[in-house]
Amino acid sequence: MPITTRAILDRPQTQTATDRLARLFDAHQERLFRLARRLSSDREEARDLVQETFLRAARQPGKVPEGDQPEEAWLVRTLVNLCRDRFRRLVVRSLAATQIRREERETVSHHPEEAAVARATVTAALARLSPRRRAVVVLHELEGVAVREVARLLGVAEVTVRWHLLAARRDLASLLLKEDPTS
Amino acid sequence: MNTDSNPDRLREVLKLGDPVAQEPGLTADEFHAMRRAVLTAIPEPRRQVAWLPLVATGSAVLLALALVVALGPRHRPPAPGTPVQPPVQVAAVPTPRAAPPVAQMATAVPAPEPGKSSTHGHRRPARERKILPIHQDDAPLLTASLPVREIQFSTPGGTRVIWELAGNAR
Repeated sequence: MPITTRAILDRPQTQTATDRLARLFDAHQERLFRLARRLSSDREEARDLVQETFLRAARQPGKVPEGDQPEEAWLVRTLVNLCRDRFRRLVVRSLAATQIRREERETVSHHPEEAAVARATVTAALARLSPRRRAVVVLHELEGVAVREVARLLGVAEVTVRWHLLAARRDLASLLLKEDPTS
Repeated sequence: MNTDSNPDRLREVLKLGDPVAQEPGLTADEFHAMRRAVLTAIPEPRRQVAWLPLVATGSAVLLALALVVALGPRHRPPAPGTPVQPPVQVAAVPTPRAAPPVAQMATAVPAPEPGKSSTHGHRRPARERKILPIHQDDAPLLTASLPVREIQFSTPGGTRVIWELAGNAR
């Protein structure tokens, strides 16, 4: 295939976008997968969420802000929004989803391994929260991110984060601590 | 249930059931497959159409020229063998003056010079047919015998116009 002048002129721009996206992926994929795994019910869904997040960055590279922190916040927000979209689709099938969660909990309660029981219980309890509230809980309680940083990452006010935390703690306590025999 | 008193306990339970604590991250195969999928999803940059304004301008100029040639005045050379028609000429005809009195007419109008063409200038000069002596007694005869002025025109198309004016016409 002959190399045209236009191809040579386009090469630097494409190369720059590819390099930037590669750097973005290498720098944030691990953290995003952790977050996605905590927000989703299984590993496959987490992997899809991460890939879809980076695909959005690839399709609209101009929307990803420059700088480590802004681009990280953009990726986190995109991932949480994708999670919310999936949650909304699940709400449409709420009866089936509720049935699945009930079966999961019943299956979990008879699981012999304590760690697996705890993991499935936490996953099921987190799945009952709305995606944004779930993201707040995961970022603050599991990843240890400060409230101010959570607010920056999700693009909301600190008071909103605190309100989500309060409500999430109340919901999770009613689900987890009630079932915990040590509590 | 007072949840404010046991946030640490809740955090402990959450960390105990943290799925990430028990599972590895992306495997090498998953990492490379996802990276390849993401990097190949970059859309091709749009080709710049810098030549488009030039083409548009050129087309507009050509269109304008074509319109000028099609609708402008036509100057075609005559085909060989075609007779050339002379342009229409308008003959300058002098305004006829008021006829002078008969007595003056008899003396003022010169006789036509022999040998001069009557078609010169597309106008034939007036001529006198008869000049009779004037007598006081025969006035009716005088009236009848007044000279008649004849003016002839010839147009470029070949039509000849002859005006005959009575002697006392003004």
